Amino acid sequence: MKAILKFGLSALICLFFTILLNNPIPAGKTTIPPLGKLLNPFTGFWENGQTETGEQETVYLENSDLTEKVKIIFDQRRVPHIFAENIEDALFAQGYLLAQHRLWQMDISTRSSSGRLSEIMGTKTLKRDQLQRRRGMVYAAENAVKLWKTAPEFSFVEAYTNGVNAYIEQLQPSDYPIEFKLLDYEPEPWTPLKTALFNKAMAEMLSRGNEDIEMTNVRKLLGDSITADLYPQLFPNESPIIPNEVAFDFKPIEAPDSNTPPIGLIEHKVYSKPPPQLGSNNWAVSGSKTASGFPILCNDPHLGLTLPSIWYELQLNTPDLNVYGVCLPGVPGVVIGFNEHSAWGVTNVGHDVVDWYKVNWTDTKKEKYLFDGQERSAELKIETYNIKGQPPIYDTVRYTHWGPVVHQTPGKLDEDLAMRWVAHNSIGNELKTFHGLNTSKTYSDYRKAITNFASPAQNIVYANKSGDIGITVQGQLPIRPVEHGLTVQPGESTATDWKGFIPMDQLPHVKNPTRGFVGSANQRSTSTDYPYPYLSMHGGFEAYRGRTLTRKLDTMEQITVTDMQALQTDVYGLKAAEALPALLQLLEDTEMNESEKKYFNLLKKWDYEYRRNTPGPILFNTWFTNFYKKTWDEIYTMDKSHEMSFPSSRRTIALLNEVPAHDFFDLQETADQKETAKEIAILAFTEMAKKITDWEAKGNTLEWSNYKKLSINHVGFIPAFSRTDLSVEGDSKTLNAIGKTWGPSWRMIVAFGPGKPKAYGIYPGGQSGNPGSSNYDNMLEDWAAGKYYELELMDRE
Amino acid sequence: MKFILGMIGMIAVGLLAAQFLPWWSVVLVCFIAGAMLNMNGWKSFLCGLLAIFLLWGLSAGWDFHHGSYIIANRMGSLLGGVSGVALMFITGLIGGLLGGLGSMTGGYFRKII
Repeated sequence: MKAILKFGLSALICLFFTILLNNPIPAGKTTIPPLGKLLNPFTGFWENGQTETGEQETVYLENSDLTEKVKIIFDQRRVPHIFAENIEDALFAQGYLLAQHRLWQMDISTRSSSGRLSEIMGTKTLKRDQLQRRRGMVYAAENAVKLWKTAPEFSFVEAYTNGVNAYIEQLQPSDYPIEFKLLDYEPEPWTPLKTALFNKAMAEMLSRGNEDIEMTNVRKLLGDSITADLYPQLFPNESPIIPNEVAFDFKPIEAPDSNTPPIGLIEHKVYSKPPPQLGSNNWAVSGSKTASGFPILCNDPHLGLTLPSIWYELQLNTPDLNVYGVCLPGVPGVVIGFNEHSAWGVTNVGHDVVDWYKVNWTDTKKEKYLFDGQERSAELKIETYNIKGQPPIYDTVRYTHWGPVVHQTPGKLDEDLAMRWVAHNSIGNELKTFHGLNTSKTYSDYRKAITNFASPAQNIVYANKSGDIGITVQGQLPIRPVEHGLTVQPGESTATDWKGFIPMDQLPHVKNPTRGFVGSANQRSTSTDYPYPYLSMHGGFEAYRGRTLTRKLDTMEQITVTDMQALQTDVYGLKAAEALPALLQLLEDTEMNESEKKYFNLLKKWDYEYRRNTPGPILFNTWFTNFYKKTWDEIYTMDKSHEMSFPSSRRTIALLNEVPAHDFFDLQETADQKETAKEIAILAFTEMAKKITDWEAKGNTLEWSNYKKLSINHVGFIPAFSRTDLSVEGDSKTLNAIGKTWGPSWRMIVAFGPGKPKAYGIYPGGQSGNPGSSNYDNMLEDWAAGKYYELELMDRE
Repeated sequence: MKFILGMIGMIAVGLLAAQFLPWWSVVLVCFIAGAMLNMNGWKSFLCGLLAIFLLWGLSAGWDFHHGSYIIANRMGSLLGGVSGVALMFITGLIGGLLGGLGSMTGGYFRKII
């Protein structure tokens, strides 16, 4: 009996521990991963180590889906140079290699896009998932796949899909990327829909910005004239992307104002939006301005920086194609790159392509709504959420004439808002665009390729060996009066609907302008001569970077690659240059204590360069932030229950320089006094001085890189897989645009010459998405130091 | 002698099983070995513990040496801020605990049949 008891007890304990260590254990907000599964040295994380030799290596890929075997040369940084017999084979290999290097990133980004995170994360991501489904991300991606299927290029995404799946199929559980082991789930097959979902995630990041709800409230609370004064769409001395020499001689499609009365306050909270600073620089200089006599093209897209990185570098080579550049993990082809003849790059177009419409439901179930005097049925889509460790949840998403209903107020029939967004029914075919660019030889090849591109709208810059340069504001841009795009519109009739899209041949573009360069940094596309109204998604175009770029390129001659590297990493702060002299002037005769005097003198000596070791940026940025908050205190405190937009820093600086007695400089908290810009500047300066003195007292030296730190987080926000506290230069408004978590995600320079182009590039990360690989973040330090690697277009043997 | 041979057996078969079977097969291997060895409870436990401590710890050490030190250090930091080397030791201990329990249960099983 005693023996049985001993056995029973022992067996129980043994089973208990085995099961415990084979399963995740919830612990408060986090979950302890299945430790036995994770730690055992045969299938656990120990198998995920990968130390690269840093040597060039040649491998061959063979598969029954390939017509010929594919040769892959990995260079020292593990960049694959893919040599295949045809385009499908090359894209199969691209899919295979992306899966090999970035499988979990591909899985998580498309899960996130389609609202399926809860399947692996549990209820904590349910809200985010619901939002993604209500925004119609899957609907948008499905529409894209439908469109792809009508063109022969669909075979590209099929070949790519097969490549990804060929890699997944040969995986053993011990080979799964570490994140699958930590979250305890398995990779699932890739599909063309997932490629589309990745594209839609990019569209979301780059083209979902708008301030319709906030501006509707601003208009209601401040009135039309104050709104026009504080929130101008147009600033003086704009430096548009398309130079003024370009004439727009075409007959535009008319879009009259419907003159619908303003809609009143909007109660909804605005859902988190992509950071408005995300943007990019690109430019091309013609041979007339370079030392070599051949064009040079540059591009650096500023995006949220993550590990694994958003870009992956590669060369694709077939008898008809030879392209080098970066691709997105999940998307076939090269997005930004060059071939022997051409180079191209992209920046985001800031045009607002999202509008909100109020829906008037006619029944309490919210199935029918009023439209053009009649009842219309909404299309109901039942969304199923499979949640890890929980029974599924169901939700209905209602699709109206405008698009999906995103903002909902239960019980109210006239407060729901539907979202109209270009990305939902985009008319572009990215597969055609990028294949066209990848194989382009001439300017007309470039123009032809990009007419297939719709969303997210991009300023696509181009240069070639024959000496042509050009830029096009390319995308599907809605035609509507400014009024309609600026504020939430009533959704009861077609009167407030978009009047179509700007025809592709009427989109702003320029070839070989007399100034000898083209470029963009997310500023306004054209002068006001352009017949279509242009509306910023973030309240006007401050164009600090855009204006800096034009000014610098204007004066440059005999340009070399080194000059272009210096320009990409340039840290001149135009915002500081425009604000600081006026601010300092206001303090000239103010009494100051010791530290205030010190800071004042340091600022007077500052040359507006956001370099690592300078104190100026810390002092100015803190001072200006204080000044800004005190200036707009009325708006901060006006109505906390309704979301508001705030005036731009550009308008703030203009008022500081031109209208220092503007009513808004008056502080709300001092009822008996009327402050002007001067009093505000002094108060803001004193507060800054206190803050920075305290900061210095903690042992910090007054150097910009001690104050500003960059974090590059793991896509799954695992701290041990992230890099924090990186020392960098620059600021959000300098050409080298770096924020706390975002910055230049790829820097590329392509210099043409008599032979093959010479190209240079770098991105902050590494080719491998495996945190256990030495190639996970190997390029990061060099990137932070502003270094470049040579990019080699290898020859076919 | 039986103890040492038992240990070696568990290590060898455990290593072999891990190539084809799920990670928890090590518990089964120790259970069977424990039943075959027929030692008393504590001795049986200790035998399994030492065997799998060595198997897991040394295998982890092998991986650590052959390119897994980066991931080991990152995982150590993720799982409570320990070093990769410490994680090797912890891996051994967890394996050892399971091996010991398996072997001990096997030993007791032998006593009731």
